[in-house]
Amino acid sequence: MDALRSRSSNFAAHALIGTVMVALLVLVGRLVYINTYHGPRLIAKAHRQQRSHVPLQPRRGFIVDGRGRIIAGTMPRKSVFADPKVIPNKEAAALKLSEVLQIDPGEIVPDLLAAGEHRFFVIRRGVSEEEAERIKQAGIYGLGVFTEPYRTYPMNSLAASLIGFVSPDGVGVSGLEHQCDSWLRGENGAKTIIRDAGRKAFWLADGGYRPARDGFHVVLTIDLEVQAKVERELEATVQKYQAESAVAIVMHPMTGAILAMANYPGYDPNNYRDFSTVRYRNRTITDPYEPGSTFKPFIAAAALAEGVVRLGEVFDCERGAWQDGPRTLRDHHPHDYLSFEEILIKSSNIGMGKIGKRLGNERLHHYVKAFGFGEKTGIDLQAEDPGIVRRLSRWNTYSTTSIPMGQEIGVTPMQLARAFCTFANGGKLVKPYVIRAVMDAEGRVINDFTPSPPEQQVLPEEIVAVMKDKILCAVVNQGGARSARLANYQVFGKTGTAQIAKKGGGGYEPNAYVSSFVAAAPAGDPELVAFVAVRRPKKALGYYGGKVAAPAVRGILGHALAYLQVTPEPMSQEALTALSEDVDAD
Amino acid sequence: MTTFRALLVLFMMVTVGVVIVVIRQESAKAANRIQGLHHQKITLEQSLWTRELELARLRGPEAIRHRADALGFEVVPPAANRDP
Repeated sequence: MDALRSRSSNFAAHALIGTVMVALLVLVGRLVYINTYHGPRLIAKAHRQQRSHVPLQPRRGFIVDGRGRIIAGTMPRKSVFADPKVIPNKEAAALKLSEVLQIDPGEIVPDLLAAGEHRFFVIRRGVSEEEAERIKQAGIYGLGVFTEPYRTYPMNSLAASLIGFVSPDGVGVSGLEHQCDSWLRGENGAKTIIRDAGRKAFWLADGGYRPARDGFHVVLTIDLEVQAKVERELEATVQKYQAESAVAIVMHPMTGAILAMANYPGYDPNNYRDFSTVRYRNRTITDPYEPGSTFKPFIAAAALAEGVVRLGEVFDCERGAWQDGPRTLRDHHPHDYLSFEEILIKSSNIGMGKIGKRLGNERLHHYVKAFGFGEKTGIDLQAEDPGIVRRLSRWNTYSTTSIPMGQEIGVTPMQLARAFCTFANGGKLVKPYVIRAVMDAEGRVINDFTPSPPEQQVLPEEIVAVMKDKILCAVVNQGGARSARLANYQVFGKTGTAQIAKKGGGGYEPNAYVSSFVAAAPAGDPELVAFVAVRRPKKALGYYGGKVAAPAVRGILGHALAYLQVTPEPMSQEALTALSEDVDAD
Repeated sequence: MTTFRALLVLFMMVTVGVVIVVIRQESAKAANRIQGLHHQKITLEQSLWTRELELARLRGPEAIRHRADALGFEVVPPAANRDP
């Protein structure tokens, strides 16, 4: 009986195990069948249904000033997209969306109808959080809201022509935004998301996350406080003299670092399409002009260096009209006799013409090139113009007297400011620069562009000292630039009032001038060089460089030197007793 | 005894299955949590971007001047800018 029960129990156990095994075998067989015959198709289908690859956009790097203040940055914004292929009635959807956004349907309907069969079409960029929420709640089939990075310029028009702007899809198209695009843009990342049956993101797929690399930050030498002051001065000057435009540069004469670079009128890069494309240009490096009298110190220094003139040497200035061959040179104010120093202080064209004749074309040409005119300064900005200096073989007898008074030559404001730095740094030609460093998103310096000290000596130091202390300071204390004097710093510089040449040659436009002033301070240990040029001031209101541009330079230097905490220096007795009457020399 | 062994084997298989399911469930929960945290990180980052730009705007020289004007403060010019 026990044996029978035991056999029966064994049979039941074997039957149970056998059944389970058979069931498992059937299951395994089915699995093998599905995997073998349908596996690849089903896996692909499941991937399509469950996984979605989401591109991760990097954050475009900042452009910051020398003190870390953000000039260009990126922030998120909400935008509305459509999948036109799945929208049953595009017109109805657009009407409903226009109701939600409370805008004219005409702003949306044509775009949506024109979108055709696109799967992703941006209908409206930059909607508010409230609008985005209303769109979600409206539940319009085929429409949705997404977040995208958006380039913004918190300083608005400040330094706009230098900074430039990006296109709506985030690519730099102008200025530093374009030039530094490879640093700023970063690298895309991606993530693979597993979604549930409701298409909700459920989890990240294994190994499905590659973070985006945010763009590098570009650090400039620009100081926004100085830049803002420069732009205020330009705006006030242009308005006061009803001028066409103005440009300005402030730079450090020892290093070539640019602290401000301004064009007025400018534009707001946040709304760049509202402005003429002419305003996008950085005219401080792209537009050469005839410098006029601001060019005289370079030739005078060359004459001193070559020993063709002596300090105190007296020149006959022909009572304001000098017949030199077939040509008559004229001074704005007639003078009988002027010393070499007075020729610059009074800005005599005739005196400079005579100095030019002593130098001769060959030496004139040599020094013009040595000061860096006629070639690019090498500044780290694109689209720099080399200016216009004709080949020596094309110079004639007119050139001998024209070049010393700043005619027959085209210089950019950048070239002029850089050349003037030689009077402020012991005679060396600096290489100007704007980009100081590139940093990664964590603040580590990737590239440091601080240049090595300048080595190219253009003038002997003793000539520079004479030019600065005996002549260019006197231009400010006694000459045409008295309106540039400061209480706590000795300024030295040179004014210019250049006529504007007619387009295509053939003389000059009547009553059209560029009024300019280039200066540095403090004379004891120069920290800043500033240049301002005002184009086409209204003649009836004033057009001499000393009247139009010098006060702007004074405002800029006074503000910037105090802001940079440059130690004040006492003015000389000569400077203190100098008259403060209206200035009418050029 | 043999039936007992068979049931034991079945029980162990079921237990192993349940453990696997529980582990898969916890794994899914953790992955879901990671996804949620990742989304939260992106949202916070974007919020940080907005704040940074707001701060930048407020730190701008022109914004400071306008703010001072609005509050009725006089922006004192630097000493060097006085008339000589």
